[in-house]
Amino acid sequence: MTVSGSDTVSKAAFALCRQVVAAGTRPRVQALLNDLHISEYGDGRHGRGGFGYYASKLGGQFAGYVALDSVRPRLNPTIGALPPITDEERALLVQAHREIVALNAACVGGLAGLQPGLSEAVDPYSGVPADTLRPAESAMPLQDVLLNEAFVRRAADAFQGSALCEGVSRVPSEIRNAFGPAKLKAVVEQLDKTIRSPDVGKHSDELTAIAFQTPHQFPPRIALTYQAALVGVRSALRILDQLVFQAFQVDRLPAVNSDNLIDIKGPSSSVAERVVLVTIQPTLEIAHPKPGEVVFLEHPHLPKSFHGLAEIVGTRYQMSRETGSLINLTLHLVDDNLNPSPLYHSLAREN
Amino acid sequence: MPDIRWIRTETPEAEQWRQLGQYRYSPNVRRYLAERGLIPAAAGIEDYVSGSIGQAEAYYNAAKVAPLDISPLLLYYGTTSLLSGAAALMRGHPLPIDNHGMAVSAPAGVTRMSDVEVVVRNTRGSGLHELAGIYGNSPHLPGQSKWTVGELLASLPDLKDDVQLCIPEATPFALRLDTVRKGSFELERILLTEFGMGEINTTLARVVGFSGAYLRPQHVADAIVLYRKINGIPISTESLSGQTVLLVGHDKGGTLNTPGQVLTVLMALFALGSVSRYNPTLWHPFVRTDATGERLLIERFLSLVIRWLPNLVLSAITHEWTRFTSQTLERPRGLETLTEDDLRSMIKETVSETRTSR
Repeated sequence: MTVSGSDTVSKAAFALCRQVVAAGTRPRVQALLNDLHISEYGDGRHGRGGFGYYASKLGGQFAGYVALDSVRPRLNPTIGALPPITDEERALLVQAHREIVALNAACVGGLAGLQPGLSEAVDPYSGVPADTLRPAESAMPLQDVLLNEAFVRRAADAFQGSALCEGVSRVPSEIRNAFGPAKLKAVVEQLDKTIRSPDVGKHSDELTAIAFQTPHQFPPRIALTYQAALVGVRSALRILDQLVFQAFQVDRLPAVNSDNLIDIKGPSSSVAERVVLVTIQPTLEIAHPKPGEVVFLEHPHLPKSFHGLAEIVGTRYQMSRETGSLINLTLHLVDDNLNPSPLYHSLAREN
Repeated sequence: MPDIRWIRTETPEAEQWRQLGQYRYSPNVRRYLAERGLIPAAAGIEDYVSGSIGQAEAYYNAAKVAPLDISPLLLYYGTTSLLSGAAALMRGHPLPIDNHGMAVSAPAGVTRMSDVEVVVRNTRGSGLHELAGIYGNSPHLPGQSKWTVGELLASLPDLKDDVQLCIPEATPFALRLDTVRKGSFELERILLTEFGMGEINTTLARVVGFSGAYLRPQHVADAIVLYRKINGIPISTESLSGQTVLLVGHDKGGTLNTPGQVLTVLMALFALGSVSRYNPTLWHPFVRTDATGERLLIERFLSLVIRWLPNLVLSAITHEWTRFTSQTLERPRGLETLTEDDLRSMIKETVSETRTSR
């Protein structure tokens, strides 16, 4: 497996994912994740599917599993006893999460020093209580490394060379310093939440007005551009983490294509999103998609510019005796920098 | 599918022959040929077309009142005349036919008409082969392939219920579909009872073009649900009476063949006509003393042919689905004329007015 020099973030991410799939350490992780989603074994024994179910609902890839396990005593009165996991399994989940956190830190790199609080603002896990992600030290020894260092380095280099990171670096310090750490984190999280909602279109008029009707050097526009760049970095890290997590689970990214597509509405673009609404028939590959998961979208009906990675931001399941099962997905297209929103580029353009 | 042309009449059988009868007049034949760029046509084409259609009508009228002893043979002759005449009209020249292109085989011990076999002979001048090029789904059927009367009748969707009553073990060769509209797309449902004793996935795998047209079938309580692939090639067809169906292919020598309804009728009529003419030892007891109920199936088949085969040929000639109805034209009132766009606009206006009044 070769490690290449300069390339796009998505190419480097795919290379890292292929390394994960091929790694000898993967089967243990894959087996554990599968086992934590089995509700009942074939011989009738109870499985530990309850643990996997709640961990998935928490989101955040391995963080969900680690956080859930560490708050186990607090949850007991509400949802009852969670299925147990062994110390070895806990160590494996913790290590997987820590390696992804290290991947994120490598990608952010020098940006962290630009401003206090920037690391927290772009951290995809900033919404998870920190104490839940630091479980007590385990007596288990460290496992073999799960993410190959060379491929992590390649992803980090591509990330730091991306337009998003360069955009963050170029923002004048007086604009950056207008945000204190707490405020920076709050505005970035809020803008991220807005962009990721299925009805981001409601806000597109205001964002369009700023992008097309204000001068490029207008300070409020620069401030919003800065926030959009940080949201872009945060989102790209989130997508990168999700791709790596999915690589532990399955050999190939699930595809939305002619084998499962029933209907397509769109695509459509605005300053904040490139969105496609699809209706698919559930398949073995895409049986229960959830917001936050990444799929590969491809169909001759769509323009080529809308082929590629897409993040699921909304799902609706329909089931009936009359018409069978359908799933409606709202998808945001992801660019080569793994950014699911064109907002930064819309604002950074010179009018 | 082609557009539907509705013709109002109280007597569809008579009206379809009246429509076909216009091609018994030379000026109409010449105009048809000219409109399709088939001039200059073969010498004598007008007499060929006119004579063929006239004979066909005479044979069909005779078959309607003749006993079962001879009605299949009359219908076979009428059908070959009609198909040949219409083909000559559509091509601008008679087809080079000088033999049936088929033979009949009644294996020893056979007592049921359903077990009589048609053997395809793709020889030079084969009528079946030449007509398949115009009316069939496949350009030709494999030479020496054998087709039982039972499987041919089971390939006609409008006979399906009668076939299943008489031959419960028959393989399903036609699957009737219900189309359901769901928002901006449609789906199709096949009731599980359509599959009879056949295995569902095996049967669907024999529908030519199925995987290119539909996503993987979903099994619900009483049906199979099919969603069409976007940009998939439509493969459903309509039965003689307008029911949407999927035709299941016949495996002959390792290839799947779907003859289409016109060829299926022709082959079944040939078998019955030949047996009635050349095998009275088999035919006479069947007509006089059938105790299985198969006679009802054959009679239903023949009445279906009398009503629908001329209709199919008329549709082929005009390139429109010709349908007859006895409903009279009523002046449209109010809601019947509203389109989907009209309804959407009305709903938007109402919602907007409601918001404003609040």
